[in-house]
Amino acid sequence: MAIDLENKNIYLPRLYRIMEIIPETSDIKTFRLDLEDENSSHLPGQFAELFVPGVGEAPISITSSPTQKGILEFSIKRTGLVTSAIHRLNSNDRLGIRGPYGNTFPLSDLTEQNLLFIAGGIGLAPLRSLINFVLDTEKRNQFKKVTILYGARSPQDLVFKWELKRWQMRDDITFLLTVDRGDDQWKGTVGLVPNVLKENIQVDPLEWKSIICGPPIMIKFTIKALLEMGFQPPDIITTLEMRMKCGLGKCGRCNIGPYYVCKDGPVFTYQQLQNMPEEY
Amino acid sequence: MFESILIDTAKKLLRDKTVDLIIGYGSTHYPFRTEPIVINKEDQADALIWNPFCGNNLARYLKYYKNTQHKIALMVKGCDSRAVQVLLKEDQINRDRLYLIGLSCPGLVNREKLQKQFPQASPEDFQWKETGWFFHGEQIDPELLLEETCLRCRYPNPLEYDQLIGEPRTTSPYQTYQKDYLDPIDDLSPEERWDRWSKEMTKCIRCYACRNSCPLCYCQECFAESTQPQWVSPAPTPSDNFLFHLVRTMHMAGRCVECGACERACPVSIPIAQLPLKVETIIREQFQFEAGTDQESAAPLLTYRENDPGDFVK
Amino acid sequence: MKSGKVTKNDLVQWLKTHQNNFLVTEKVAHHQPELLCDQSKEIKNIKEALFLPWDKLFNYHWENQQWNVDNIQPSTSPRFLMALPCEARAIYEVLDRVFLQPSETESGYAARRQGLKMVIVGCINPEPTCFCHLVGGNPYWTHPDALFILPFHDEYYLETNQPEQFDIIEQGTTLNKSEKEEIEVLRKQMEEKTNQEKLPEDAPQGLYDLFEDQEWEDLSWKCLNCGACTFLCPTCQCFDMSAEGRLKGFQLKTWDSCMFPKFTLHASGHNPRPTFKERVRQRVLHKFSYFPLREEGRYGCVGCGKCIEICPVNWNIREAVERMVKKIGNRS
Repeated sequence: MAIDLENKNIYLPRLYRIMEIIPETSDIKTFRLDLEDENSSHLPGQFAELFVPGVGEAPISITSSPTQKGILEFSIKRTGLVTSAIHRLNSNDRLGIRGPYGNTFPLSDLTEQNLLFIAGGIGLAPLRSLINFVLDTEKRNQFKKVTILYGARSPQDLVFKWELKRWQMRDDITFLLTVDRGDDQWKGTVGLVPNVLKENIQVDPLEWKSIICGPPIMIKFTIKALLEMGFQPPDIITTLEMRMKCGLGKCGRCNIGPYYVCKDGPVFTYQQLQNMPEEY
Repeated sequence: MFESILIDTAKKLLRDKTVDLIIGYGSTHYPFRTEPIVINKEDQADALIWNPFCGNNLARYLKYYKNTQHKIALMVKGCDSRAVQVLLKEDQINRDRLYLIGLSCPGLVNREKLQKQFPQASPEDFQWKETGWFFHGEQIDPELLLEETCLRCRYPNPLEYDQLIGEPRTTSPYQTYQKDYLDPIDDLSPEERWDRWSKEMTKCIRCYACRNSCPLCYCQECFAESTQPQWVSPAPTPSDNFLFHLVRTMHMAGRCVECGACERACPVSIPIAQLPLKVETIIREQFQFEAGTDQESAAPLLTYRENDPGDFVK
Repeated sequence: MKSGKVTKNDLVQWLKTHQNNFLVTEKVAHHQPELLCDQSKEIKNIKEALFLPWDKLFNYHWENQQWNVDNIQPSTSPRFLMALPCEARAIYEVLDRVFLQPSETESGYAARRQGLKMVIVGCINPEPTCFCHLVGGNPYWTHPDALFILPFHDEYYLETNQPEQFDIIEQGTTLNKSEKEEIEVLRKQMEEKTNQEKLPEDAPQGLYDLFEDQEWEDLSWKCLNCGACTFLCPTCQCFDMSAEGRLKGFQLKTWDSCMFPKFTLHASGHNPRPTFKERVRQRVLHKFSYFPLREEGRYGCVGCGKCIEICPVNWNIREAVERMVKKIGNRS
């Protein structure tokens, strides 16, 4: 194998300034980074490795759409060492980024199609990149009907509330919001995502593509519901979450069967998942 | 002869449903090597063996049955039985669930010593009998072949058992040979010891084979792998390796049963048992305490007395 | 291909002139101690020459109220590395394919690799734990870029495609016809043995289909989940990355192991490989199924037997694979 010595350091992050931090829920914040004069080269579905010097790296999906110029956004749930450290950062602090990594939502398969987006909790983050890509003024006419179903455990757990309002006001899409448990103020739908899906969404399953993301248990039951509705496995698209370090298919921990989730994923169709060991 | 008693015992235990499973030793394809096996059917009992190469401390496996209901028979040498005693004392397993098949142990053979002493020999050349060890019928001096950790053994008989395989031994290797693995190190100056251990620590790759073969390392999360907070760097530098081994040694103080399983597990041949053995020697001399031999008094490092000896603090 | 033979003395003299620059694997040192010089450096595991047990990827520091990151330029001087065929295959067939991927080449590995001149020593003393034939290797396996040496009638046979890298070849005398034939026959014997013994073509896919098999449970029972096998394996390339130092430090790369429970543990507490069974199966299938399915049938194992030799509980990957491969046959 030829040795490429012109190569750069694939592990070196670049530091970007945090422009704004948007609190979403009690443990989720969205970080908007200033790319200065650059535009992001990512495509919807990809992720980046975020680096906090002195603490470490964490793989986080990119939630902004590439159509949003000059910025990158990440919505981060505080779970481990690195995400906790990111939550402690302030505006104007610098955060290390390397990427983008991974495959993307299959854009060519999705154009000229009706799209059903189904998200649960923080799982909206990777879908939001694609949703805003599809809803962009210049791109919208490349896609047909768009339906979004978004659910969270409670009204307090809904993320991107500021964006949900914008989507709700659009008349070129159908937008459904649900929570597992409401509260005194909640006037919207109450119910688990798979149930709301079956009860409230009537689409011809052979004419639609479904893109889903959320906690593993939600994905499992949503796929089951979609199959019952008549969706075909190649038309159900989801993303896998694995522990990832290098993002380049080298460090080995995200290996499932002959795939590296960081490189060959994180986006897979249900048909692909059926042929993979269930080790995620 | 003892193997047949062992197998009969095992068969009976399974037949009578005295136990659900038996953890013991089995043979491998490779000369002078054995492996831990688990059996739960009578006809599997013929696979059980007992010879001086049965080096694993099988008490290690009890950890994996902590939350099950199995009744377990375990083959235990003297040192292994001490480990079981410590586990019982530390409330890690219930005695009612255990059936201890005691092995009166002549000591383990060190493979490297054996290959040095008899370079081309194969297993067929040896007879490991109760009356002694033989090479083509000629008796071998055990001192030449014994593991260093076994040469200093004080407990060749299990201290706790439900049935003993073989006759109890009347003398221990320590009484016989009056030798201790630590003697040559005790003669070194502090500087020489530092140099020696610094060199050994460059070899460590932090595979944790020592820790994982130890019957008494059962922490849910080992400090060495904790990231919040991080105590030791994952980089296997000599200083981080030192930190890992010294903290582990202190964690074992008053608990180590001197079986040497850690050292036999080391893939890069670090004489790593010497660290806990040294601590146990101090505890034996200064506190008159030996782990796994005394089910009543608390481990010295778990208690404080005003008149605790302190001569070893330098 | 240039070939020839030199006297043992000439070879040792050549090794001596380069000895300050010579890495020798423990296996070579053990098999052919006559090739060792006073200054040659012995390494336990061939991958240490390229894939370091720990490495600095870049530096960072806090200065003027902000974070800064600084690249580390990898550098290396040319070095010789003497290894057995199985160990050398770990580099050519596995590690290079991981770390020299075009467009994602790891610069540190590439720099060290660029400077490396491989000397492959024909294996004349296979150990009971070896099984290179099963995975497509053989005791005389070599690579055209390397210098191959083999003890041959009190002398040494040499062969390379890179005579300018290995000037010793110029001192060699040409082999006569019968000697050439002798080498060819030896080679052929070994290649035939490989053809006879190697795992069946469908083993990678067959093992993949046995993912759910009950047998993994039994196979994994005695494993202690330490990292001895993976850390001494010449092909295991999994690693971890972490930040070392608070206000000034470096991004650290260290060996990691699929045997460790924490390897796949999510921050949420979920673990896709929660028990011994999944972890042991991962080690076997990554080498014997996933890697070959990805890399044109090449196994991620070179059959050196090191993992068997050093396992504290004598866990035997060869036995495990053969047992599972037999099941493929029974099934169809």
